[in-house]
Amino acid sequence: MNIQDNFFLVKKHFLNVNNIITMIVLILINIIIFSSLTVIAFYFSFKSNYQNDVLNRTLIVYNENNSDNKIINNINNVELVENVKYLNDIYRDAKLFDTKTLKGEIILHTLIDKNDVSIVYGRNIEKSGEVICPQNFYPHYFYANDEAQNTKIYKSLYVNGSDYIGKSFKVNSKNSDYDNQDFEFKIVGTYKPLYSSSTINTCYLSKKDYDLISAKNLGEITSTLVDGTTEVETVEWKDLFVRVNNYNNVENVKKDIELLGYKVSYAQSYDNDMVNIILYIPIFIVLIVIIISFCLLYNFIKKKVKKRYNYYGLLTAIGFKNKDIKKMEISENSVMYIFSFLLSFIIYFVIYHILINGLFAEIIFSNYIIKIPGAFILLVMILYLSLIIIETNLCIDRTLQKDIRISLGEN
Amino acid sequence: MKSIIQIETADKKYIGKDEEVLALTNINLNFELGKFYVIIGHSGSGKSTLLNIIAFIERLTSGNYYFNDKNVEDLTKDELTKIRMENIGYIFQNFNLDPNLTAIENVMLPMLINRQIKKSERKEKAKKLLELVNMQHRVKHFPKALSGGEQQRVSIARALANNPNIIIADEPTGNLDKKNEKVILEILKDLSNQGKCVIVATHSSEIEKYADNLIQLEEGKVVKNEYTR
Repeated sequence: MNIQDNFFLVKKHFLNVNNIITMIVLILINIIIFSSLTVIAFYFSFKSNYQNDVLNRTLIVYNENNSDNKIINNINNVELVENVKYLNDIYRDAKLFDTKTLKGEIILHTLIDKNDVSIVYGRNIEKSGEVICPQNFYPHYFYANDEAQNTKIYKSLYVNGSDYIGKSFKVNSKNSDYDNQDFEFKIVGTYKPLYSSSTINTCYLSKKDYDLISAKNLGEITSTLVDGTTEVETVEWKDLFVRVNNYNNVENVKKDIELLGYKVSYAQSYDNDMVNIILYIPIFIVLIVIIISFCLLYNFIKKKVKKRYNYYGLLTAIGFKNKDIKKMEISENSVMYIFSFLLSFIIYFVIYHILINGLFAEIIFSNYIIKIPGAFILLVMILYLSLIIIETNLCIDRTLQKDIRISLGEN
Repeated sequence: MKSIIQIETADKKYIGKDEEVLALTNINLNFELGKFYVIIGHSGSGKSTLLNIIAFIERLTSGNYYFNDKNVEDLTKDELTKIRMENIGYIFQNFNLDPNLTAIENVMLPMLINRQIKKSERKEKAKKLLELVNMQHRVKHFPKALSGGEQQRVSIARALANNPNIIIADEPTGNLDKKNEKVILEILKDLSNQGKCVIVATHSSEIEKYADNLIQLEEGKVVKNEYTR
């Protein structure tokens, strides 16, 4: 029997109750597996990004005595030392990026080292009054408005940063020396983030420009004295941040700084055990689902073959060979799986995009990428297809070994 | 006329859990083209077993089966399937039509595995076969929309799909009323008059009137084998 005739019979028998139920179950199984694989892929991507993240090799040094940072600079594996204020983000409205639905809001961050970013278009900052913005730019905050509680990213509001090269926007200064003055910044280039601490609406400016627009001091502390009078103390930016050259050297540098008498903490850290749960739970789910689905599939196929016993008798009686019958059943079950795989992938894809732009918007906003693990999904398809072929083969072989005269309905 | 089928000193045994069942004992039969053979006997007499042996669905335990002068006992399962496909048309008591195929598609089913019939010729051939059994007006109907008699007629057309020399029918009118029984028997008789070897197993006394040769089985043995015409 040739392939066309084989698929003619497959087409004719495809939409039976058994196949439809099996497809529905397979769709659910596939969606669970795809989602779990996505979480696993995100875990490994997160772990990998984490090690490269500049903030994860940054230490905060508490400089109560306001001492010189030269002594810290001389410690082995220290890349640079700066005032801790340059770690802060400045949130500002930017009318240049206003749309009909959302106002333009960007984060301005100090470019500590030009090598912290990779320039995509244009050039890096060379002088005061220049900024670089993300190439994949979302110049809004991810709340729809101030009152909104839902996080959402509007995919249609992503822009190419390069479209804004040469354009300028004004930013209001909070520096008391400049008394609410507006400063203009020109976009000279776009960048690709090399670490995930920048969000998709972060633009970089120079240290000098940061000092122009940020508040001069950390803040003011008002204390009430015993005699009832109040005392206002201006708190200055005294503390330092230290960038270590490599994630693996962070512990040693921390110890060396502590030996000099400073109090040191990590700029960013996470609970390793909590994060590992992101990995263990989906792995467990995938394994359990695969085992259960293997058994379920076998039962479905066995039941289907049993129901068709009489039909195989007919086919044998009219001249079909065992291999023709096998080919027909394997084709039907394979087509059934491929169909359910495609449907489940479409549903997963839609859910993925809804979640990416909604529930997981904050993760995306922080420049973490939740990728579709295409290679693993393909592997799952191959695994299940192979399983279906093997199980169908097994069930058919056992059935066709039985007495055909029984299948023809005789004693 | 020379026999197309010769069965000599044939036995068929089934081995059960606790016992051995002799389904056929010392069978000696010849079948010729252009004749209508009727095999009668009570339930369990071995009629269906004999038909299955003739149709290569089962093998003899001992004895010889010659088909066109060739001993088929030495052939492989696939070789037997090929001979069955080319030479035998099987008609079932319960019609056994594929419910997912229309009448014409059911008739074309055996042609899917016959490379001698081109794909472009199948539909036309199937239509002619359905005309032969007076079913040309129901070609696109599914079996569930056909009466018992109509389904059996489609089943006959299907059995003729690969132009076999031998038609085997196991109780072909068992599920039909008298009127439809007569129609089916007339069709089968016509086929034998056209030169085919028609072998029918039955309980029905009505069919005996159509027989050229009557074979009676009792407890797996041939107790009568006589020409009636």
